[in-house]
Amino acid sequence: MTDPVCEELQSKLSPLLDGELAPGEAARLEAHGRACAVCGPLLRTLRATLRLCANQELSPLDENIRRRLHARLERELNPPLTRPRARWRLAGWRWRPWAAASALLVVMIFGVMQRRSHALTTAGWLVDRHCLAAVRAHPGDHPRSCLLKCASYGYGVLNPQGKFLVFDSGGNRSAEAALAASSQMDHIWVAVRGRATGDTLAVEDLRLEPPETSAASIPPTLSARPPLPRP
Amino acid sequence: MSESAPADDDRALIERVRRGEPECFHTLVSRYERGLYRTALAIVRSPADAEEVLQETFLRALRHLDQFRGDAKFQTWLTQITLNTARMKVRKKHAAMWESLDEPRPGPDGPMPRQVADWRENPEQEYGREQLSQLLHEALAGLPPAYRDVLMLRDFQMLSTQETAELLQLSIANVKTRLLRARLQLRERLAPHLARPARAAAAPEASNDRSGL
Repeated sequence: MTDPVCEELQSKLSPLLDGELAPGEAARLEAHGRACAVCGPLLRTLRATLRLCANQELSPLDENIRRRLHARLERELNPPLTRPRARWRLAGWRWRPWAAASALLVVMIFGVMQRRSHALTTAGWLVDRHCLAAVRAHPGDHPRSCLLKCASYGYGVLNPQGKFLVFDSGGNRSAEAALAASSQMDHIWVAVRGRATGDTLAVEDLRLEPPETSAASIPPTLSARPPLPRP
Repeated sequence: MSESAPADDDRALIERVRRGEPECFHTLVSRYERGLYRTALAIVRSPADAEEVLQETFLRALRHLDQFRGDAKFQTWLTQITLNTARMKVRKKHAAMWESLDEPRPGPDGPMPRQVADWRENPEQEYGREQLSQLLHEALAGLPPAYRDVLMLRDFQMLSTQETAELLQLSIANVKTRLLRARLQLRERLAPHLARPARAAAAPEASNDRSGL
């Protein structure tokens, strides 16, 4: 491209495309463009590019996007009567103190509940959580071998009134060790002492009872401290 | 699109919204929703994100309508909100991939091509609107952000050079330079899809030469 008019046209491309040149100058450069093998296609393809941009701008917005936009704005412009008009301010900072106060209240309630654990001594059938539903009717028939196999599910004590207390991790370890050391085949009766919170018992002491004593009923909850109750 | 909506008419509608005719805001939105969506899409590159930006733009405009004093056109004010919202979204989403708004280094695209292949006579008839839209979107997405933003405002939103310069906080000369480079690069990116096949391209050029054009 050695023609100086080529250089002139290409330096004035944008003004030429945007119609910002004086009519005489524009006509001269357009005439060159029609004759030049480089400037001609350049002008034509640039004009086609701009036409594509402009046509895109005329194409309508996707109807779904438009509908959602206007629905969202309508909610903002005319909020339902049940909702306060300044509802949108929820997106700002105003809700944060309330959220913080609520979270603090939850933590305090949880703390109080935690402190409401109580000392408990009780006795009943040793049952694992996996087999509880199946053996609840005849817990004495639940064999020691099955209890050992189900150690990973965790244990608990099922008292004669049918209440089941789940052992904590320390209680599970104690129960599994006691079972492993026992030679009793079934009718596994256990006496435990610990602190109960809800349905969970943090076991402090646990021992398996001889089978001949397990048939008798004992009070489900005893506030007495050790020694452990004997049926 | 903006040229068909006189600024005075916009101001009258805004005044009616302020006086308690909220439905007039929908009319204002309908005038600018297409252009602003396309601007947002060029920046965030995801239709879902662009839709969020569009909604956020008009919600912000509505909530701060009292702050619009009418010094600039309503369209320019909306475009500023769109640019800010879209850039914020990109920054949040791809903090590590934040695009530089600095002047891109002139690359091998150079200012001017030496060989230019002509395009098909009427690409609008050969491609569907959806296809062309997709081609343009991809080509735009490949432009450096500094060029893309100028092109979006000038050739899609049809803002003036002065308005574009104010919105992007650039000099007039800088806007013009970037616009030319953006147009050339966009043309380059569209060319592989729209250029005439070699044989077909050769014949018309030969005939043009013969006819002295």
